[in-house]
Amino acid sequence: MILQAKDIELVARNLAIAREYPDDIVLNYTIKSLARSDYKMVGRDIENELQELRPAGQSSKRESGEESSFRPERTFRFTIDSDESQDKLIKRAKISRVASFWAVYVASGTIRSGKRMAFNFSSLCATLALTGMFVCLLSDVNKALILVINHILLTLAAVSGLVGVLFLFKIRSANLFFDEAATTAEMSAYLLARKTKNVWLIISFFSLLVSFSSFCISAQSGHLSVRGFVVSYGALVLALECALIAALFQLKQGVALEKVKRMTDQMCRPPIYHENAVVVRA
Amino acid sequence: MKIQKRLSVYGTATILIADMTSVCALVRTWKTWENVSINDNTIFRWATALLFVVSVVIVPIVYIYCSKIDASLSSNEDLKDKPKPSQRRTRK
Repeated sequence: MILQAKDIELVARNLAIAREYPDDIVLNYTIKSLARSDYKMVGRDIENELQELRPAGQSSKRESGEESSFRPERTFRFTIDSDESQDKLIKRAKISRVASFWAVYVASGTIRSGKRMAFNFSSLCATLALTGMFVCLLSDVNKALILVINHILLTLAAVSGLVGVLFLFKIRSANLFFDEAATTAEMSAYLLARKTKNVWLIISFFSLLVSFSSFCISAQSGHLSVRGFVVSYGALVLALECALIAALFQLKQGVALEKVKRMTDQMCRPPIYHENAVVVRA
Repeated sequence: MKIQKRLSVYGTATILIADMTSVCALVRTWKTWENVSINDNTIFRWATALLFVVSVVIVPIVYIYCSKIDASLSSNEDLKDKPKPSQRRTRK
């Protein structure tokens, strides 16, 4: 029996809900994977997964000769054992040969969390270095020590930021989900907000680097020159502005994600029959 | 969708206020800086002008992007309440 496309969509939605991803992203990937030559094989494996997903007593099988009247059921959570490690999940995915879908899915989650951790650590170091800069400006006590700590923090922030950028390129090179054209308006809004936020965050990060470098170079001579101050101040203001814009787009992204989730949730519901809507057959 | 549009307007307004505050702070630093040479004055003048222009250019760009996102989010709002042809009941 060849698996129906709607069944695959149901599995994709369940997986998406389980992994807290926007459903449309997974649906795009699933629909894309339908064009693969090994579709039937992958379909068989997903069908096996589907049997586990369905509640007892329900079956996707249709009686022979009867017209298909499949309606996607209300989705339910596909529980993943939290004790199960990522390696085990990938291994399990390889065993069940849904690797093209499942393992990439898990790997992308790992890359994303790595990127987030790297950028968070970089931001923390940058904030601490900024505090050190202000302390250095306001008081002359332990100036050398603070400058040394600032240098270390700056190095850590730069390295961590570069690791984050590396993860970002890794996601890009993997060509996972986000390069596809969005199918719905909500999804395109979500992708636009996300992309714009990332661009502003990168500009902010590099402005911060310029600001810190300029400050450190100008502070080496013992006194702050006008040129050093102006460059450092301008870059710092630009970094702050870009961070503010990124925060705005982060809010927008959150709202768009809610809309996407609501939309896919409505898609999964059985159709609602309106009392007054009547179609008379000829 | 009104909340979305308000968020865009207030967000861009906040960014603009932050920009103008930073420009004012730079001007204040310029006026209070001791022993300013002619060369330093030129640097301060150019920096202030550049910061002001960048602020004025960036804010409309942000607002345009916000409007795009708002438009995408509100495009399906009107269609949601209408029953689709596949959701209509047939009378036998």
